[in-house]
This record gives sequence, C-alpha cells and structure tokens, in this order.
Amino acid sequence: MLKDITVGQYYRVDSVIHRMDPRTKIIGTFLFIIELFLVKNLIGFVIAGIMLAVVIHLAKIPFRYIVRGQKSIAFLLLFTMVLNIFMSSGDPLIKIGFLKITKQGLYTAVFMGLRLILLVVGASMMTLTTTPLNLTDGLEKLLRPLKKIHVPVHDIAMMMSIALRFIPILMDETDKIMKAQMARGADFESGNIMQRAKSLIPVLVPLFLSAFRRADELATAMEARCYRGDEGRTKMKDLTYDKRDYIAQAALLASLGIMIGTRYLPGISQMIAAVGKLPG
Amino acid sequence: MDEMIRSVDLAYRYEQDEDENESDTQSAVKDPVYALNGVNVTISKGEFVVILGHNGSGKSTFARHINALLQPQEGSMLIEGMDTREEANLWTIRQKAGMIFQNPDNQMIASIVEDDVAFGPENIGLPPKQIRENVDDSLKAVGMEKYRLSSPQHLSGGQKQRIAIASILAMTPECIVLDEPTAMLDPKGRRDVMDTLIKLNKERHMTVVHITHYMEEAVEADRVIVMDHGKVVMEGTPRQIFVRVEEMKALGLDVPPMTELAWRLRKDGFDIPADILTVEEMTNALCQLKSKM
Repeated sequence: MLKDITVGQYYRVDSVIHRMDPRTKIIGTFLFIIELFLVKNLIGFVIAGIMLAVVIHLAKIPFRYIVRGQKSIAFLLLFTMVLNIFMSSGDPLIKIGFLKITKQGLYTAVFMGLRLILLVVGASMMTLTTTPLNLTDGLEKLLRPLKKIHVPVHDIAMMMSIALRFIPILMDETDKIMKAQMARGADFESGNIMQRAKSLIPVLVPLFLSAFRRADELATAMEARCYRGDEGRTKMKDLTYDKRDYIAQAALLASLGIMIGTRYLPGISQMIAAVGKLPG
Repeated sequence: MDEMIRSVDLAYRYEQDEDENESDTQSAVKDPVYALNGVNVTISKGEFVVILGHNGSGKSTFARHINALLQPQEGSMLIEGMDTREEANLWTIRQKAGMIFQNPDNQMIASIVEDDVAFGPENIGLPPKQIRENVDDSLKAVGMEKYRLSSPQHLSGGQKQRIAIASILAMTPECIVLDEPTAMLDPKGRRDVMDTLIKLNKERHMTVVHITHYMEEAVEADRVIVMDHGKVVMEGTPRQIFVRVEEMKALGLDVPPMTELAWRLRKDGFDIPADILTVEEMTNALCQLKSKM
C-alpha cells in the first residue's frame, strides 16, 4: 500500500525542457516567481500565462495532467479569493447585510487568484520535468560558490541524494513492519487520533533501529569505496550548459524585461477612463 | 606467483563498552576477547580463496583488515607489500582491494544503476571519460549492461549484488573481498553471483576472497581457509578440508551434502572414496561400486 508513493512528480517524457540543464530550470522558476510579483495589471498576467503555456507545450506535458495536479490548491485558492473579495475596502458595488463587495476587492481577488495559479503551475513545471536526482545535482552546482563561506554544499547534496535513494526502501520496511505487527493483532485503523498515534510506536521503534543500522552499513560501504567527501572527486556526468540552455536563459532575461515594462502600461480601468475622456 | 595479501601474526580486539567493564569487576581478570588472534595468511595473485567459520570466528574482522577498514592492533597486514597502517597507503589499498558486503541494499548509494557504479571511480578522481569506460566495461563483465539506467528497487537481490560487484570492478581493483555476499540471496541469485566471481577469477585473474556459509560455494575455490576463535584452524584445497568431516563438525560447520553422504556410506562399510565433493563424483563412485559388486 505504501509502495505506490513516488517522490516528486516527475513526468517521464522526452522534450527540450526535460533535457535542459537543471540549473537553467531552477533559475527560470525563480525568475518566473519574481516576475509574477512584479506584475501589476491584466496585460502582465496574460503575457505570463502565454509564456507558461509555451513552456508547457515545449515540455510535452498534457494540460489535463497539470490541471489534475492543481486540485490540492483549489481550496487555498477559493479561500484567498473569497477573503479578498469581502475584506478589501473601497468603492462598494453590492451590499449584503454587513458584507460588501468592492471594486478594488474584486480586482485584488482576481489578481491574487491568477498569481497563485501561475505560481503553482510554474513551480510544478520544474518538478514535472526534472528528476529529483538531477535537481539535487543542479542545486549542488548552483550553490557551489557558497563553499567559500564554508557552507558544506557537497555534503548537503550527498545527503539529499541518499535520502532519495532510501525513501522507497524505508517505505517497504514500514510496510513490512506494519504487516508483521498486524499479523500479531496490532490495530492501526480504529480509535481516536491519540490511540492511533500510540499504536504507531511499535512500528517506529524498529523502523528507526533499522534505519540507523542501514546508515552505519552504508557509511562503511562508502568508505570501502574510497569516499572522502568532495576533495579530489570527479563526476561521470558533469552538468554542462548546452545551446538550448543559453537560448532559454536569453529568453528568460527578455521576459524579465517585458514584465518590468508592463508595469508602466496603464491598467484597463485607466484605459477605459482615458477613452471616455477623449473629446468627440 | 606474486603475493597479494599477507597477514603476519595479525591480532585485533574490539573495544568493549565502558560500563560493561565496570559491571564486570569480578571477572576483570578474564582474558580479553580477541576477534583475531595471531592470523598468518598469505594469498597469491589470481587465487580464489574461500574463508569458512561459524559466527564470531573472526572471518569478517579479517576481511575488514584487507580493505583497511580496520587496522591491525598487533602484527601486520600487507596488501601488495603496502602496510595498511600507513595513512598514505589507505586509498590505494581501498582501490586495489574492493569490498562487498552482505546486504545489497545498504551498499548502493545512487538511485540509478550506472550512477552507483560510477561512485567508486568518481571518488578516486578519474577523468569523466575514463569513468564512463570503466562503468560500461564492468557492467558488461557482470552481465548487467541492460539494466544500466534501471533503479535498484526494481532488481532482484542477486542482480543488486552483481551491480555491487560491478561497482567495485569499476575502480579497477586487483582483489575483491566479499563478506557473505550470498547470505541474503535465493538459490538462483547465489548461483549467478558465484558464476560471476568464477568468471572474473578465470578471465581477469582477479584475486577473490570469498566468505560464505555455503559449503557448495567453498567446493569451487582453489583454497579453503577455516577459522575458529580468531585463528586459522585448517587450510588446504576443498578436497583436503572436506574429507576431515569429524573435525569440521566439531567446529560447528557442515561439509558439502555429497561429502557427508560419502562419509555416512563409509561408516556403514561401503567402499567409497572419502573426498567426494559433487553429485557427478558421487554418481561415478556409486556406479563403480555397483560394477565391482
């Protein structure tokens, strides 16, 4: 039952975006998030949406798959939007009892909603197109300059990849221990939260013991294979930027410029107002 | 023949917990328990040696000395003439004498087979191109090249253990030390691992030091070393060792099933050679016996 859990949400398909250097994708995601907070008006959001759609198309990920992945944020989205509609002060449009809907509230709600959707879809594009292992590699290389100020970048990356390697193993083990306890009459499914939490203790204790034993054996095996941190260490698959990475980075920079540009465009309301003021 | 491993009066004692010492004040006079107590073993290049012994006989401790995971407290351990106690030799020794452990899951570092095989050579600092070559070559040597991009979760125990062997091979060692690599495997996986080891020994002249509980694996070795209480008690070819059925049983060890059968038949007065190791030899011996009768 626990076996089906996968780490991350990597969507296995071959595309330009999948083959791109993880560093480009990490930088790109961050830039996109920053851009979303720079945007002030509808035109900006439309442009951001188009850019994201282009990336999704290039990544060959079915649109339905992405929509399904966003179900978890639906509640958060609704909550933020409702809160914004009713709580903002400004020119009232409709009044129901003590609740009032304002024009400004409506605007913020729509913008917040758009921003949140684009944000989550944008960030999930990174995890959908990059394996966790690649992501770790990318982070290690990106953060390498931090080594100068004694941040153990290599060790952190190594820990992350070992954690990824052992998650399925420990999942299996939990499953096995739970079944063994169930065979001896343990009950994990009934009772209130406190009772259920208590019934997990006989699972957690052997699980932790085994995790420590595994860690010890793994450390010995790593030492036996000449591991001594990252001094004098080379990599079989070193990350290198390809032509597509440079193109993507140039496109990202351009998009940042455009987004900043949209801030100086008048918003729609101002435009309508401006049109109304025109003589004749 | 050139010598690969030589241990001279090797002795090692695991440190005891402090509180254990305190509570044992009455028995403080008791002799310290040696895991190894004066082991003299020489293993030549290209030899296939099996070490037998029941739990706690010191065979794993001996194996860990070969890879310099443990350093001798008394005596010395020389790998190709290099002393394992010299700090400067440490990484060369670990590269020359690769080590494989019992649990295949606990010795794989990466989530992709070829990345795991590359881990060793990456640590030595080989150039990327060379690593690629070594990885491909060693995966081929263990017959796992098809699983290059698989994740270890989807492999059987025997396959994982062969990947572990490939991971060591990629570091171009002279010698492989295996600490009960077949203990957790099914018969098929055990056979595959043994076949791989024999192939490496024959084709690449790899020195193999194999620790096992399975007597049928010991039969295929050039030489068998039997350990008990931190000492080498018997040494010789499988045939020389296994005819000493009574001594083996006294040490809590078995002999191959066919040797045991021959021993029982002889006890019952049948004229059959004592040094039978395999089913074929037994069949031949029985046929000869029948034609004599």
